[in-house]
Amino acid sequence: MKDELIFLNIALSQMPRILGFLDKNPHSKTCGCFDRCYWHYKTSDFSNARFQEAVLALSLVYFIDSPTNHFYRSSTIKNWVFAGLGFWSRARHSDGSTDESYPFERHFCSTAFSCYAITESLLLFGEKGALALGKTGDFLIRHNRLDVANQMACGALTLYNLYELTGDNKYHKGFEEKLSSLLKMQAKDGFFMEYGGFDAGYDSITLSFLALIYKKNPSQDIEKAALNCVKNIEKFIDDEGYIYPGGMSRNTQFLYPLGFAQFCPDVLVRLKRGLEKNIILNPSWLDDRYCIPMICNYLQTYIKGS
Amino acid sequence: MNSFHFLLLRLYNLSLGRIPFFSYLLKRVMVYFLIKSSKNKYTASSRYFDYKEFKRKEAD
Repeated sequence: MKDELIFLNIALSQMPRILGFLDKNPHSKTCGCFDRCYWHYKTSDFSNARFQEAVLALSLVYFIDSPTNHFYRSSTIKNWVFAGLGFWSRARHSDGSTDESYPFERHFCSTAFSCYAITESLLLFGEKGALALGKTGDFLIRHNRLDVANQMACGALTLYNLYELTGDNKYHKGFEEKLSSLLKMQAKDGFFMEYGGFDAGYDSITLSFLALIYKKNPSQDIEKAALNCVKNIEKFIDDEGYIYPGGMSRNTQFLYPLGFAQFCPDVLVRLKRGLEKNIILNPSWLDDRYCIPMICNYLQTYIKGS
Repeated sequence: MNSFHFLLLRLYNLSLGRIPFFSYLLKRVMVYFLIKSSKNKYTASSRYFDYKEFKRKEAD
């Protein structure tokens, strides 16, 4: 079995669950919405934009050619991707921002993460002019989260994607500024600041985004920062990919694998050992809200290794 | 959070919260209470379980 197949298999096992989140009715006002609590159960009075990251999961499985992947080049999946893109676009505020936890939140995090998923999907399908993304891009340029590195890393990558989609240099400038701010958030020990401290789980998310940025825009600064980060995290990860969450700033137990696939394959081997025994946190353990970005990361890890 | 607190939150969201300044102010307050000062962190895997609790002890 190809080594990275375990990531694909775990991600694919969750795809039916993700597809269940989606409002597929083309006549529905909420067609394309992945927040089932909002459009179906109506227990929420707003749609959480983070659920629209499922668009990227669908886009990735659309392009993965593997015997175990039933969704490869499925026209239904493609239609659902574009339904999801359309809902995200309609659900934004007038300034391009989105909400995650309450109405009118205008949250940098949900805007960056959901816009990353949207722009990455558009790039995968080669649909550069499909959506008007200017206001969201401008929102991301104007705002920062200087105490939360993973959000800044995502913001940087999203701005780079916007530059690739539009060719507008202001997004490239915005990307460089975000990246520069992110690299300044790295402590001497190598970790990136997450609300004033070290957290291995969120560092792994930052590392994943650095890997994606490095792939599109390689630079020695990024590589050096990533390798310093890895050097710090890997001390906390045991042979089976387990990390003890106590004492960390966010108390996370998860590890996103993509960054390790790029910068420290040894840690990836440890994660695979734990996943094979199903003894470490993975997307199948997580709640609906948080399984989606981890599934995307697992799919990207498989693609990287294939 | 109880229903009363939730109602207050929603009233704020739908009134002053529509104005970006007040929305960001609420965000800063919530981040302080839920993330920075709280022992129980507001993250996906916070207050989860530790799989090692289920590890079988080696037979003597």
